[in-house]
Amino acid sequence: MENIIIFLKIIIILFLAPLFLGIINKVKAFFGGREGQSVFQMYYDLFKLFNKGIVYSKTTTLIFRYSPVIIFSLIFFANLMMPSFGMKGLFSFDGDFIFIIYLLGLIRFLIILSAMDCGSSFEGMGASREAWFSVFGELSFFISIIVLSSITGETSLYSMFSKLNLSLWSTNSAVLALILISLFFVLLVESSRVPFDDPNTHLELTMIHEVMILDNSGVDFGFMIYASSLKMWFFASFIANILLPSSNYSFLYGFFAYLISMFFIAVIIGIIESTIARVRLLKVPQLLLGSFSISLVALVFQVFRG
Amino acid sequence: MIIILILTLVFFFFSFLSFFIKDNRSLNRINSFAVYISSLIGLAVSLACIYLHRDFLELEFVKKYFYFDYYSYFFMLVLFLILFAVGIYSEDYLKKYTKPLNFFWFNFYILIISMIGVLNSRNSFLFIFFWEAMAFSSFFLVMTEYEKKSVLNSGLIYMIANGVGALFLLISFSIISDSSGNFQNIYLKNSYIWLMILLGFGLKAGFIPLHIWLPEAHPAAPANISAIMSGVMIKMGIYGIIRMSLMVKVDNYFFIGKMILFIGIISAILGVLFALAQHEIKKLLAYHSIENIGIILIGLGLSIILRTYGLYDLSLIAFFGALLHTLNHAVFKSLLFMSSGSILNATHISNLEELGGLSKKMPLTSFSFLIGSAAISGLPFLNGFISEFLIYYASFKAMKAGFYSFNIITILALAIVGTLALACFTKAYSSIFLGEMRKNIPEIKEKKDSIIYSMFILVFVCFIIGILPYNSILFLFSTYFSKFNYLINLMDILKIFMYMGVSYLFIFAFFGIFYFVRKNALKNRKIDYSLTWDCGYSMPSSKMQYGASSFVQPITEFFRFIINSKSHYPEINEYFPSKDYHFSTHPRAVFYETIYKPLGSKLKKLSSRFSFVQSGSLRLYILYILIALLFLILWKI
Repeated sequence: MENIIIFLKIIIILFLAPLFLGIINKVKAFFGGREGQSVFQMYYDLFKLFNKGIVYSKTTTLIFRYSPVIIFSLIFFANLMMPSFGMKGLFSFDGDFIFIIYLLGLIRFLIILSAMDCGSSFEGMGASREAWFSVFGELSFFISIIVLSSITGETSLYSMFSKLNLSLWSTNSAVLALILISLFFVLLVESSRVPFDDPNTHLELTMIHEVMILDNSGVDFGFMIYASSLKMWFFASFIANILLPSSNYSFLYGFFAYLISMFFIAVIIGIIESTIARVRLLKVPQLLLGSFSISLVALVFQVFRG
Repeated sequence: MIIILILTLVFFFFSFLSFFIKDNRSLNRINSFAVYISSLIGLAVSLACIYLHRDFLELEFVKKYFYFDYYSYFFMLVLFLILFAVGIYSEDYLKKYTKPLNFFWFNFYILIISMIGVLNSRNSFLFIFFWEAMAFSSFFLVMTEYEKKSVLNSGLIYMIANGVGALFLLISFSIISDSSGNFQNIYLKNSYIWLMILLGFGLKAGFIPLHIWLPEAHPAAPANISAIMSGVMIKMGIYGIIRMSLMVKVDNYFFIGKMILFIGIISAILGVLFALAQHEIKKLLAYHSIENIGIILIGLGLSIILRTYGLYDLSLIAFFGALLHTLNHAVFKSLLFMSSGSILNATHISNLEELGGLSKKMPLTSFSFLIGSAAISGLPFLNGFISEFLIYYASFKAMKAGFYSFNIITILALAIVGTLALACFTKAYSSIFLGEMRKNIPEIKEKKDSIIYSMFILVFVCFIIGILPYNSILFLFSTYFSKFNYLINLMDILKIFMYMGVSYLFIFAFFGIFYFVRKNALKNRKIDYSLTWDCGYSMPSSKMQYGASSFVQPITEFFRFIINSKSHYPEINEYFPSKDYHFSTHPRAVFYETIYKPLGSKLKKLSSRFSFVQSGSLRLYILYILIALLFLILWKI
């Protein structure tokens, strides 16, 4: 059974992560009163990119060549570790979230280096912002995990999520809601969405993630955007696991609860992107500090409740 | 035990032999050979003693004055491991000096002997003797390039720090040793003694605010000496704190734990913030030593706190984290210092803003610096992660047991430090090795000499501990695992590391699969080479790259109230600037400038009033001694 689930998981991760972006774009098009691109646009893009050659900058080194593949395999593994539809991930051990967070750190390390490898000031700017903004992102993520761990009294992802049920939700609703908000901010900043970054602008000076992969092309670029959609999927599944706890129910319920909450998250991101403008770049740290404070408030609530 | 003693004698023999070799080349060759062969033997001995947790060939009369126990062997393992790499490194690194190096090598051996002595002394007189020998020999080694004025200045600061530290140690040892000077296990009501101990050892370990000599002495010293000093010598302070915490029990043990934890947190966070603002390779690395000492102290403090809570297994795990981080920091910091020496040898530039693009000219140095940077940022696959994971694990588990405050602070501090260290090392690596060269230095070449070999030994160690955490933890801490095999959490940690090892295998497999996919996709496709995208501008210059200080500017701006870098730039009034304009930022040594410098000048003023005491007349000095003796006799009566 477990092997089948892992297999199912691999298929879901690889095939549905691009759809996630499609749904967001469809929602944005709906709000804009447009027909919009197809929900499957990302698949076409990926297909196109995987059938292209590559142009490398002469400045770049091996880091630039290999980091897309390494980043993709790391984020794919991180997704496999994430429990979903009430079932264990690939492995589950105490402190596995520390391991995963540090794997994400390794991804950041590689993406920053491969951006700096081009020797362009655009990519440098993106890399610098990524390094700086992720400080808050990671802190909020850690605080949310501390809160979750103290609510459920467990220290591994699977056991935390499996302890989470409706009765825990009803007794800890305020704290859980607060960390959901803060996790949502983490999702937005880590996957570089509005209000932190706008993936649609093409002004290099104000971008974060898109500008870092400016020089990637062909298959490598395909791996990069695939990896960033997987990263989004990772954070969204983390939120989905809290949103609709599904461990004590049947597998089928968990499966659909997971997919529905993922769909729900994508729609919310779409709504946010179409109703809010992106924040001015210099104000981003303040917004991040705000989201960090929300998680801090949750922590204080949880710790001092006695 | 006997083998260590014999090794000490060998070092002693060579220290004098080095005075009789006139030719620099053969001097370096013979001595480096002697150092790495003997440290290889020392390494084997300490590994065997750690694993089998017993000592071989013990001598009763030696045991009276010297420790040969787990702690001394663990730190000797660190010492010999680093010495092994540095010994190989030194042969070709020292080629750049044309002046005679006899005195250098003499001091090198004295430093080694005194460190072995410090690690084993059971007697406070012996301890202080070796401690001072260590301070003086390392001082002379720092002063190797005494022709430079900056080196003289740094040497002075280092000297003063050493003196003050030894003073505090003398005071504290007078309380904790018996009449013949041997250390004894004591129990004290008040915890003031611990303040002395922390000040004394802290000046060597270099945690904030006692860190001022570190960023001065490391850039001044040759790279191999920086590697030993940062990798091993500052760990003597940590060793001292651990040893004292085993002996000196006080009433308020919890308070000591809190104090060490907070010192650790402050050093870790401030250390990495100061490092972010630095543009000089070795200064940056020196500040990172402060950060890592902070992480070690966090582990130690947490261990003490958890012990007072009664969580023995978690306390042990935090302690493992601290010890393992000591070893790990020694490995990757020495690796980084050694590669910075290789960079300096090739380019003679230490400013990050002027380097760049070295990756293509020096691929092997670049690789070892990359591994060192990833390891010090605590990234998976490498050793730094394992020790930080142990501390994280202990605090999360302790939280589960219902103890919040200190554990939450620890977790958050480690998280902040980790992300900022990542920012700092991506900055350092990318501005040294990536992009295009900012200054045109034509004749950079990388020879495959002993410098490269020695760095790859340490790279190998980083990977071994990182990829095989299960085996290395089981090996290093086998004593505890066999003694405390009834503690469930302790055994759990082994299971976790097994999972982690398997996870690494999975990631490797995924990488293989996706690499194969990429290779297939590229089979009949064209790969072109062109310029970096520059918005259509056709004349890119290497000066347009994002430099080190621009990279960290948002962070230094945010923490301006702590870092307080000064920036210099002329005002531009013309609409079409025709002159050359320069912008520069200067990181400040905050603690030195705001606390120590004013304090120093005040002290100088004060002491100049008493300068009449030092009249230069010998008779007067003898009178002082007589008065002092008389006073002591009267006091005893």
